[in-house]
Amino acid sequence: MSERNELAKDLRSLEKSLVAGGVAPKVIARTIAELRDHYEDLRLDHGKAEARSKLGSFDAIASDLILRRELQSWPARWPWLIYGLLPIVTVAGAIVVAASTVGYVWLGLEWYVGAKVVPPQTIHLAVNAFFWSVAHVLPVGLAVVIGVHALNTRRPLVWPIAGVIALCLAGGALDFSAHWPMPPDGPRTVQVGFSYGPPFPDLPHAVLYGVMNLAIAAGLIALATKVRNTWVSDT
Amino acid sequence: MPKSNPPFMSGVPELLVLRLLARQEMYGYELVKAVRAATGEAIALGEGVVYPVLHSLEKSRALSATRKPVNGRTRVYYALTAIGRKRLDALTGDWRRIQTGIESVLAETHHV
Repeated sequence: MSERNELAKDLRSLEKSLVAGGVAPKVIARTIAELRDHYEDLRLDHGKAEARSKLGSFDAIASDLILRRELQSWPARWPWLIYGLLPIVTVAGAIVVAASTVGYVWLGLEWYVGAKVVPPQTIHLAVNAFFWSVAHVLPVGLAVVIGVHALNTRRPLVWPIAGVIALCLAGGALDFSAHWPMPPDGPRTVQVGFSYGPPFPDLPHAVLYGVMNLAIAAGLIALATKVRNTWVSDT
Repeated sequence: MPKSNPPFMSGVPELLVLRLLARQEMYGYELVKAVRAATGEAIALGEGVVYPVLHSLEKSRALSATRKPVNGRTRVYYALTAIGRKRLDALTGDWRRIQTGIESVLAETHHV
């Protein structure tokens, strides 16, 4: 094996250790690039025989970087926040933004026209499809992102698993829909419901949908990880 | 009463890096060469260990980093910031106190 290949192998191994140690990706990329560059300078000044040994132990570099908390990634420093709280807040925020957007567009249209507006049923269907995706597809999507990220970075899985379960169960319990006015003056509402709070509307279905979400998320996480591993081994 | 001493050698790499970068901005390899020259090769470390120190100091805003293309390669140049200068003053003070203390002990031992 040439000394450059040996260095590339050592750098890959260092990268793996740093990822597993929770070091921020930006720091990892910069460290690898700088070490490679440093090696090239050593090679020019001291020859290839001495260059690698002068660069020193990569294990020592890994330990030093991993022990410096300020160089850790956000998920490594605050796993409860990144894997637990943030995704749930994201879903709640997305619901508020989606409901507000539809509501204000509707009100703006009525203000512009100067009369009550009843958009056609196709718009009603489109709005509800959008709301459904926010309430059900987004939580499962975020659960998959969390799961794949945690597995790829080899982080402890307690918080990622808690986050995935919370998202999937929340997605199963949400009811987010728009109710169109029936002519001439019926009510128009945007409804957001959650089956895990009193008076527990439709709890059995909510749990069932939550479990289904979990199964879907687990399948997609496994698939994405397999695809990624195949891609990594190919390259 | 002076504040408690930091672990003996833990601040040494930071002190050397900050002191040398106070003169001029440098990239990693250049900095390692400067450490070697300035210490008369008294401090021999694996050269790669300078990068965790540089990244940590940059993260605490004691250093700033700038990428510059040089001969077809992109080098990261580090420079001291105002925060770095304060840190350097503090570390220098710590080091002087330790040095004075050790010299006193050595002098005493010599007399004995």
